[in-house]
Amino acid sequence: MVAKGKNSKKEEDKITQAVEQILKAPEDEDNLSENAIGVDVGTSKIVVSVKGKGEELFSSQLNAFIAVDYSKFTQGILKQNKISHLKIGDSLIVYGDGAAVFANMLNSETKRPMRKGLLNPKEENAIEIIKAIIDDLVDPTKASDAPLCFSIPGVPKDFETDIIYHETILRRHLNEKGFQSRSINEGLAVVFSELGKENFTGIGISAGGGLCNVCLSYLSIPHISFSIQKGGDYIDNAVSSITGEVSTRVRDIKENEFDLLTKPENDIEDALNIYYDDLIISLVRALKESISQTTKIPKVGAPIPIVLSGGTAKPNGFRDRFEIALKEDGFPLEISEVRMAEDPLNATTKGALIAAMYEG
Amino acid sequence: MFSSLPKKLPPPKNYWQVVEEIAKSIPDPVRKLKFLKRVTRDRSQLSIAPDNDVDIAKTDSIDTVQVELQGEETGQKENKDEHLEQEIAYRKRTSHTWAYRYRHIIISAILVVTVWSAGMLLMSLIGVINTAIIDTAGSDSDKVRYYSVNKGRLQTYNPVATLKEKRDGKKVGANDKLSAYLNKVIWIVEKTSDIEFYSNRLQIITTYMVDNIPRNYYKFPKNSVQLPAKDLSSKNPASDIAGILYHASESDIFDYKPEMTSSIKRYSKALIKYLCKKKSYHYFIDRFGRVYRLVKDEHAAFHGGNSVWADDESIYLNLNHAFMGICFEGRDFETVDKSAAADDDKKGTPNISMMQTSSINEAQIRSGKELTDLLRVKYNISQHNCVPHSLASVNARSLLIGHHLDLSYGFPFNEYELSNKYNEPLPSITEFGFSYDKYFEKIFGAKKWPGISYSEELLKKQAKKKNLPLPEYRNLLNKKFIRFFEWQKEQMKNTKSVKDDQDNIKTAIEITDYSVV
Repeated sequence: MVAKGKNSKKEEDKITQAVEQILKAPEDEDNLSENAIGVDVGTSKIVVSVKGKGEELFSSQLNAFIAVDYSKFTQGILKQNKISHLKIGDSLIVYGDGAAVFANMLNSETKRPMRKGLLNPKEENAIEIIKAIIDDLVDPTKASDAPLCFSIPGVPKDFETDIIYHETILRRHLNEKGFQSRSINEGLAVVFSELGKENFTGIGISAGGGLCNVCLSYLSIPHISFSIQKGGDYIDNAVSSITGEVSTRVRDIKENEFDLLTKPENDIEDALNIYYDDLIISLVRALKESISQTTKIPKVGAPIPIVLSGGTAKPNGFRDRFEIALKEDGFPLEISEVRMAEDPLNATTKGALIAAMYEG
Repeated sequence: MFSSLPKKLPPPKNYWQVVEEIAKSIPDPVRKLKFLKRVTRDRSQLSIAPDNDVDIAKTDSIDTVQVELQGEETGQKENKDEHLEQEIAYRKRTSHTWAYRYRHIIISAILVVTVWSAGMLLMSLIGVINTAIIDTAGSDSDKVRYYSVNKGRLQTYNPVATLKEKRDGKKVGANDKLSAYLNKVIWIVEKTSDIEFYSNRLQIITTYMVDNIPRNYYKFPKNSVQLPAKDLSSKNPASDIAGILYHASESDIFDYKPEMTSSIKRYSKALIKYLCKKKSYHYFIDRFGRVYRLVKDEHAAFHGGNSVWADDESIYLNLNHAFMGICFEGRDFETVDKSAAADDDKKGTPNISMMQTSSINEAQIRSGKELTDLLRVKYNISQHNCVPHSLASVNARSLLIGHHLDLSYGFPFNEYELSNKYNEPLPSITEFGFSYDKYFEKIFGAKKWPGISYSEELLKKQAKKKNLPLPEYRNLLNKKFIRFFEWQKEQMKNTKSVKDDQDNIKTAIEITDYSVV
């Protein structure tokens, strides 16, 4: 509570004094790690960022694989075409971007080593495949204690599971490679990447392939973070089941042609509209519930922004639909704006990079 | 350095606003982050509470919240230990001051707790005495007794009173969403890739679980001819789980004895694989009481066929999507050999008859209860919507009840702490004027569900109220069903469930004045 009366002046002086002391504190902020690495470990893609000259440099691989029977001939072809692969038992595991190419050739579908933001327990080689993809993207020769921050999902709101196993496996592998690795919540990474101007105060949302991650942060401190188990895959699979179209084709339409603001012209677009609405409503509902239930909401003087990122948030009109859902039945916080991330596909890795640089 | 600052400052008015302003002047995000992290980390050393002047939260509950700026709910591991140490140091320094400042509140709270505890003790004693009295009072056929686990007291449920209320048009059990003991949490204790183990002893085998299509259905308004509104506020189409439909597999069974173990197991396994392929049920309980999840909870399963059920607010016509399907392996009907019967007898004679005893055994009933409890707690399912398939199944073409007859007798409602649905009016009759034929009557004879008679009574009463002859009123209700059913089919025409599972009604619907319904 604010003290009133004759002591007020004295207290304000003390505050001023404290603030001045902060300002006089030595500037160790110059010691920033330029060799830091940010990694977005997403269900559908793994994206790595490093600091280049004046800007961030990004590289990515599909977080997918396809298994084919081993033969010397096939392995030779893969090597010849520089397609990343592993030999596990009697199988050749083609992973990363090459998996999609190979799947097209075989008229088959790729598989995912991750499911709903976490290592896929149903894929026995999931860990080896993830490790291999990360190794392809992050050059271990440059490790030598370089700070590395990788994204992890928020604890799923609607499902009993934990993220400790997933996080530990990734951290252990990266540390073994020589990095100083630590994790960052995916929603918080979006806050770090996109809400710098707002002093990292606001809500960051990453709508990815497996999950939607949410983080409410005040002055860089996360107060609410969670995920919901709906993402791009949920939409793809649902639309695929209903329309009978293969999910790869649905994904292709969703990522390249689909617009949430235009009237649906066919069954697939119609179904995409329905499931996008479902995802958005679930997301907003979960956010409202979390805010209403928490006892740890910070108090600040101004409305806060919401920033949307991730591949699932990419279609035109997602922001508008989200804003409409937000306004339905009121929202427990005052929101200044809902905006898209500058680079929705790279926001998480960029935030992870900022965190890695800060930690270094 | 920060350490040179005074160790204790009074709660400041604008400290964090000043920090924010300074932060805003730092353009580089990494430097800004470094600054903010250091300032917030040093907050505990300064003993500075956050600014309480302005609240971004509009809810009342949040207005009164004391805000901790760091450490407690970060949701990530970074700085966790450091924050914890700081938090402990901070609390040590401030605990004495706080305790003194709020001593009156603390003392009042202690008094309230003491008085409340004494009251609870007294209530428990009264409960124990009541239990003893009721137990010694002997059997009372109208009352079903059950124990409330968390309160340790005997409670009573009177189905006859419920039916009377229902006949008088009162809402039944508006507050009985969950039995008292079900207010307790059931949580997952252990989980592997194949098994989930819950705190109420329930074990679910998930090895065979498959995906289907996400739940997506319409809730029709009760006592109305209006079609569901399709907007965000009306919650239509819905995807929540509204109820549980219990089924029997009506499959072949081996004798339940030790020497048949391997045959029973082999048959169950084959059945599970078949049901998974067909995505028939959400859960399957084999003859040893093992619970299998076949289709994930969030998805529909093709278990309901054409079915009608209703609670106080809504009518459900697509139970594949709206309800969970739990299937007990077993059967309660056997096929009648009609080859020896005279030709005249063959005609119109049912080819099935009730078995002497249901093959569903104690182990299955116990597991079914644990599963029911979990689902009711997890999805807040009303007891009104926990029903055997036979009571909801209809023939949508001929507008007859009892299209499927699984679990049409002997369902252990009492053990499941559910009201006896065999005694309650059937929504298919009261809402849509469904009837039954001679075939149905021949199967059940005198054992016909009492709820049917109640429904007929209710229907007569409603027709009288509307000044309509019963056949005419029934006809209008039938048309309402067809209209609802066709509308739903239209909405769902692209979904696999409808294509695969629902009968095709080709009825020309004339323009009718439904307002009278």
